[in-house]
Amino acid sequence: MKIRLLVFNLLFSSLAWAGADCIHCQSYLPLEESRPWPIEYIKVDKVQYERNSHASFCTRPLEILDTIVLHHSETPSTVSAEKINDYHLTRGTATDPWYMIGYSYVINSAYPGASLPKLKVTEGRPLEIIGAHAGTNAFVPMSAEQKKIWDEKKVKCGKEGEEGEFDPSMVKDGKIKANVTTLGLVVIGNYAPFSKTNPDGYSRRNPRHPTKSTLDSVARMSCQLQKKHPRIKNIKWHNYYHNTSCPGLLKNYIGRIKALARMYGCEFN
Amino acid sequence: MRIQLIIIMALFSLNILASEDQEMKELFKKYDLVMDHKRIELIDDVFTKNFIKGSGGKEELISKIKDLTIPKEKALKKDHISWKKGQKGEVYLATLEEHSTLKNKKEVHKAEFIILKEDGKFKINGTLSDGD
Repeated sequence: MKIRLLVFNLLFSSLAWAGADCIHCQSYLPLEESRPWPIEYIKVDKVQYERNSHASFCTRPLEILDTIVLHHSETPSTVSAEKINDYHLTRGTATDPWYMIGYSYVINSAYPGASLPKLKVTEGRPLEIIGAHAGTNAFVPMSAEQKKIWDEKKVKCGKEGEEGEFDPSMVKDGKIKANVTTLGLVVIGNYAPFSKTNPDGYSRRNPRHPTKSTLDSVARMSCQLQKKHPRIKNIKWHNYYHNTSCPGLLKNYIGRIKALARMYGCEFN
Repeated sequence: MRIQLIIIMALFSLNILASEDQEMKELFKKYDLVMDHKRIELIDDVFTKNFIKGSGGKEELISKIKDLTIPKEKALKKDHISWKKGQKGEVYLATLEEHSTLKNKKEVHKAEFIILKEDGKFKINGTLSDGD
């Protein structure tokens, strides 16, 4: 009897341990770890954004994409994708106007303990249009495939209605602008500490960590993108490219996001 | 007559711009007082109601401000505030530069503040992550 109780306890505690850190355990507990979880695709909302027709923008073949860059918006968590578009249009100057929102995907997800906003993913700048998020002065090495696309002059810049021209300034010393080969995925919210330049940040006594639902949505969205564009193999974060507090504490969860994506059958470096 | 009208209009808009510029500088002077000198009685003059609510309420915001220590090697370059009105007129973006005061460190961090008019006065409604 004692042995049976011991075995039962052992089984129960191992199940509880497995469930403690598992997002899907309530609905689905994988029996074989090697089998990927069935991915429940995230519905991506589309929005008719206001665009600045005076601004120029660049287009790219999607085969040049290889990296997802994670951001936080540093705004309150309830801000919409349309509002970010307004801010980014405002951010442009007369000499350097912005065409539209700089990120490719926007994730609205609640802070810990909050019920709003409800999880929502919105498409930002279409993937074919080079984003404005990683830093215009950030350059990265090119793979042989990316170099081939570049050499074929398939990246073109111009204004609405124009054919677009090849812009050689996007490559410097054999490296290409990070914005060309990446897409920006932003989690709306502020995951950096309170400071004079970030008055909406979290208190140091009470760090604002992303919820499991937020991490899961980033992982699923990343996996979804990889399944559609298999060349996307990396997940990086904003301050990998330049000195900024973005994406705050989200950066600490990149490993976790990749692990979750692996459970869904996707592999990221 | 038409030229006179244009001149009057131009002068009028210049006047508005100058007064808004002054108002923006005043806002960030108050912001310095709140953040650097813990003048928490000015919180309502500096932040919008929505911002205070979103920060977890006034008490939470006050406790964050009281806990804040400004590193000596960092300073906001107060005379370097640039701002502009949003396309739809309701939002203003103000950019401040934070410079390292250490001679060997040339770090510059730009902070973008979202400013709204509340009760006819400029107030901070949040910040915006950088990136271009």
